[in-house]
Amino acid sequence: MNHSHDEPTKAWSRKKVLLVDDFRNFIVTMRNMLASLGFVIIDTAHNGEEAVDRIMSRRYDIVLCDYNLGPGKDGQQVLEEVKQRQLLSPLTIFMMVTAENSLEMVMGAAEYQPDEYLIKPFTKQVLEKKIRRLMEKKESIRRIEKKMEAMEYQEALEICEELIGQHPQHLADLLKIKGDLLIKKGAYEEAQRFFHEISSLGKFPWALLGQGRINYLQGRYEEAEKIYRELIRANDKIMAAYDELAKTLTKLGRFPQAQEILMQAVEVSPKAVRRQRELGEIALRNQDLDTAQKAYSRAVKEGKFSCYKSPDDYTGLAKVLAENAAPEKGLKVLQEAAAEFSQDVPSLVRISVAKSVAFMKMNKPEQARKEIDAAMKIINKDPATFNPAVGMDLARTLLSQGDGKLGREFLRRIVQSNHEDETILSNVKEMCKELKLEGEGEKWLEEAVEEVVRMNNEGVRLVQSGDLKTAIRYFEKATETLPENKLINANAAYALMLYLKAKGPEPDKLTKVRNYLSRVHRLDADYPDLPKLVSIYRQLTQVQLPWMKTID
Amino acid sequence: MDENHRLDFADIIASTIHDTKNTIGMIFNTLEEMTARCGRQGCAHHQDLFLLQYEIKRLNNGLIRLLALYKAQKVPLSVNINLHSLRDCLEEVIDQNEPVLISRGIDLELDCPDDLFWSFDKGLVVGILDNVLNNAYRYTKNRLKITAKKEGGYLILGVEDNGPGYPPGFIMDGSFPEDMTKSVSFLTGNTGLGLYFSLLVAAAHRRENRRGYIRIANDGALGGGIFTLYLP
Repeated sequence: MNHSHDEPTKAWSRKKVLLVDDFRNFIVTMRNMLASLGFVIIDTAHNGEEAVDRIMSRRYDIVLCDYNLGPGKDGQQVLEEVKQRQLLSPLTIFMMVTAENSLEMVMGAAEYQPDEYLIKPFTKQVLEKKIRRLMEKKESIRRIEKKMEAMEYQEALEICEELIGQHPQHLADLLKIKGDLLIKKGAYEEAQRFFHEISSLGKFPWALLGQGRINYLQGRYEEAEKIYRELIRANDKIMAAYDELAKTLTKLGRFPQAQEILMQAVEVSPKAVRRQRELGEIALRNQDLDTAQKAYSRAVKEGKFSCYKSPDDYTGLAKVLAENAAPEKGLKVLQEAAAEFSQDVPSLVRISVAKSVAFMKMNKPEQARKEIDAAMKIINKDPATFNPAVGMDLARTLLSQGDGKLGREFLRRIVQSNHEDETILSNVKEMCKELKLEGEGEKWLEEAVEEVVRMNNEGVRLVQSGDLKTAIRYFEKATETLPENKLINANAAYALMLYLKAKGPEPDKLTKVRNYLSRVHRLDADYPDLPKLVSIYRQLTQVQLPWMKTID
Repeated sequence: MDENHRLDFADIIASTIHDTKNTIGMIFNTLEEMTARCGRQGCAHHQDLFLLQYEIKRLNNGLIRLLALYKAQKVPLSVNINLHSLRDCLEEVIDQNEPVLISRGIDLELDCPDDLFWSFDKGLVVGILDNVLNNAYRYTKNRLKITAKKEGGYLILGVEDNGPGYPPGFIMDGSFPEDMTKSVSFLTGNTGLGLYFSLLVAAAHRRENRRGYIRIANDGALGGGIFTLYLP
């Protein structure tokens, strides 16, 4: 048992390490310890914000991050942020250093868990062994991560199975990865069976969450609800369970209950910006204006330290204030937002639209119109700044200003861009009801959806008839009409790729394929057919798809 | 000062502990460096430094436990269950204790199958074992043994020694004591808080209608005391 570890390990001299702690003495100690283990490249950060900046600018092999970092972000928030923004390579080892072994570990239990916890103080030898073990683990899953990144889920699954046989010591991680892969691949039945088998080994939060998600994805919302509730009963710190439960209840149309769950969640963990925003949204919907105002205000406040900062927090707060008979205050919030997001064009669109709503409440239709015109000018120049939320607000203002034609045009654009999204369709329906566009509205909406279906079917028919040239031209036109429709873009890419498969590669057509696929990915990174399309693309060319970072 | 502005004494203690722990951490790591240097130079105080390291670790464990109990009082103990390789976990416990084992010339044997996996909260269970080991040093003659196996739907983790065994008041047959305050005796000098915490952790592990428990006896294979943790 008595190894001598006094000689530094050569292989580690090229590994990049980041040390994060607000306690400078500890950094000095750790630096010495790491140096004596053979590490040479050691960067430091003294607070959460600095840590995120460092991780953004350099790819580290190891991050050692203390949980308590003083004011600002804590270690868990750093981890969530860099994972959420995909700044952290899946091959980077992230170790959370804590002073004790309790609460904080559970908080990240399900989704954003570090690779390892280190409880202070620890010896050099403990650190060395943990690093060695984790490097081994990362090395063994490197092949899976590569395939996952490339969306080659079947191949990733095969490697995963192979590794479960070869490296049983990493069983827990590999099983978790397998569950993720099955869901990503869309093999819901198989995933269902898998999670069921796992549940006989123990009630792991990640497996229960997976089970809930599968039920949700297959529309068994009551089942999903039961699982999430059970999970929360067993451990009230698993925040993802609250979020998923609220989402499920919303799907079931039980809005007050969804709000109640989110209120419980913010009680446990009040710092999460996104959750506060969601609470604000649903409370506003439930006309619980006090709760909505509190939640949005908190979101704005916490957002200052967070990657989840969004203009939606400000526009939401402004909306609540407007409904609460204080549109002037709302306008002030929006001015603050405009300063905060002055560099971000899509945000400015949203803020302008929200301002128009406030001006309408203040009975200032001219100023409202000015904001609308400003927003539309940007949208016309850059259609990517348009999204359903912006469109809804635009339409609302236009319709209540009496500009029914333009307002309806926006609603139509939302519906036709998202003709398969039931939530969006029902939101539009509700708005029509509210603005008394009902009778004609219902029928008009159905027709708009049918038109897209017909359009797509015609294209598919052309593809099937084998007249690919015509099909390509047809879909190209369709994507011009509906640039934000996932299905149309996906089929446009598909038709082009079938053609290229038969005729051999043509660079300009491949560029078009890449554009369509990128659009689908931007609109919905989890679009179910995307992996299949990507795999066809791979057979045509080696050129990397723009959104993929390479894992080496 | 009115009622609302008075600080809760428990909160004061908790925040002081946090602060103290930082200092202890510094001392611990500095001492570790010194011990290593001292070992290389073959100086006479080498053994004393090991002893210091051990005592500091005990101090630290005590504080960690206090913090955990403080939190357990505010909210129920949450367990973070995952599937773990027992060999990995137990090697980790041993690594943490290696300096002391060496300094005291204690021979530690690990009896654990490579392919043994179980579901439990690793942080909590490793914490318990670390504590038990820390105690066992003081009483063992020169041998310790850690065993892991599964039997009858339980994972059974044992820590045994070849010392004089546990005193009668500590013997425990596996049931959760009706009144835990009885086993916490401040008079004997041993507060029993470690034991109390172990019981909480064991009982927090549940499966269907079974829950974890602890057995303390003097019938180990090495002839001394044996501490056994049963996890469903």
